Amino acid sequence: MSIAAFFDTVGGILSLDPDVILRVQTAPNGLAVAIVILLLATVSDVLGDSPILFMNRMPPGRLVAAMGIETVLSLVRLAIWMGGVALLALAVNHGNLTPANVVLVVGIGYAPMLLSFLVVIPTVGPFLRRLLIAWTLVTITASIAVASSASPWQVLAAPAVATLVILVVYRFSDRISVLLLGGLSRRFVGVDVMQRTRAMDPLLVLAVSRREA
Amino acid sequence: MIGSLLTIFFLALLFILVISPFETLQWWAGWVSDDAPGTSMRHVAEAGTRAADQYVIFLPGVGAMGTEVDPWEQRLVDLLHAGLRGTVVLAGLFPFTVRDDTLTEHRRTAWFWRRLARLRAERPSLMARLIDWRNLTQVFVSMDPRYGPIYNKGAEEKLVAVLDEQGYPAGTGTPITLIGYSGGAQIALGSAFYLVHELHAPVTVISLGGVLGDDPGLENVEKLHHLWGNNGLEARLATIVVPARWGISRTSRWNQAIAADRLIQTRLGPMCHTGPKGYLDADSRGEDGRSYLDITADAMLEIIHTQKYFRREIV
Repeated sequence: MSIAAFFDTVGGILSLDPDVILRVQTAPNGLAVAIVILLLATVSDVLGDSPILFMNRMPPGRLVAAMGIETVLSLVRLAIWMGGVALLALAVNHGNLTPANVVLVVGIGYAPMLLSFLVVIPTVGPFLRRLLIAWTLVTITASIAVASSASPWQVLAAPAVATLVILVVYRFSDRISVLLLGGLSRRFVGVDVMQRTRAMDPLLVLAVSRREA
Repeated sequence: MIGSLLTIFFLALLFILVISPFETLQWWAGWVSDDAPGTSMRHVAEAGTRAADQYVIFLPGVGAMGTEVDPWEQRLVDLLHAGLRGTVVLAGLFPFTVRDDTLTEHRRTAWFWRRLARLRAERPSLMARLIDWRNLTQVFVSMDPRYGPIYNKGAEEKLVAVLDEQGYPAGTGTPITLIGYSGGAQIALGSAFYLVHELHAPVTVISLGGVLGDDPGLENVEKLHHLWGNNGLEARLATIVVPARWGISRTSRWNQAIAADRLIQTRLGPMCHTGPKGYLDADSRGEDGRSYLDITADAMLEIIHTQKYFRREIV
């Protein structure tokens, strides 16, 4: 798939075009497309969260290394989440839902997070992040709806239940991820990159400046 | 053709917006050294006598590029200077960077901004508006709770350096008034928070059509006087896009400051933000015959005189 074709596909997913979503899900390279989306979205998310590394006053080389480590840890975080969903699916013996299917369906739905580097935009960034998360939930739901290709009632109900399950698993798995990977991150990077860049306390900035002066 | 150019223009706007916090973040991380030799202070031209009763610093709007004061803004500064005896009135500081340089000097992209400045001087155009946009993005950085505390610390350090150069006696409680026009008002408010802490000074902020956020400075300034005109779209826009300024955000710093009478909003009249019929227009006249510029200057002088009187009372 060419770069132009890839971005056309992403455009179709973002606009919730069921034909595009189905085409990716049934294409021989569909899983590869989903994995590329997950990888690029993770890199984009790491870029969007990069201010936390600057705030911790890292030198350039260490910052690049930290971003690399953060990308790996974020992918592990995603894997834990999708692994949780796959395990749950296996537990309830949901027919054809294999781990590869989970990656395919969730990966396609993860497309809005390709834009998550925009979270660095001042003032509106945090709002954009919420918007992207909401958009991701909608695309994941759409992806599940297309994958299930069930009756009209199921098209509405099954994806909604599945999305709810994914969200519940995400909340649970993410706590474990933050706990485990946060410790690793502090060890390797010196900063817990599993946390989002949050508001800086001006008194902390003042204290750091005074200490350095 | 026009469609492509507009696409490129909007992509340029987005690019400037996305990279806007990184200048501040790099400065904070220590990646850039402040070795430009005091360029931001070179044109502090309005210095008065030393050991003054109070200090007034004017911070320009988003059209600024360096230490040159815009002729319209200079007329206001001149009126303030004439109306304030025993006061040091400072102008010519470039507040839209934390670095010790300006857009047109001592940076790799200086040639680009100089070219845009020439373009703007010859003929106002959409391209030349990139200067305003670049500076406006720094105002957004100052407003952002993630980057603002860092940016505003950098701006405060520049202000302290200028005040120190002008003989400001730190720790004596000599009042400081920061006047910010348009985007400069947010930088003034943001840096005021640190000025109060670092110099133990009573700091008053006067916003002229300011684009202001819910800044921590609202908690410790003596007063924030927000002057605005009925037709000042920019100042009105800020009231719409900053949720903390909505009436329903009762616990926001903005609304708490209003409740504590620390934030006073004054409508100057049917003025717009800039240019003819703007706050600094010396030709347009209000109902009482005064020019818009005089109305603006008089409002500021009244505030500053009151501040001075307040200080003598408590002494």
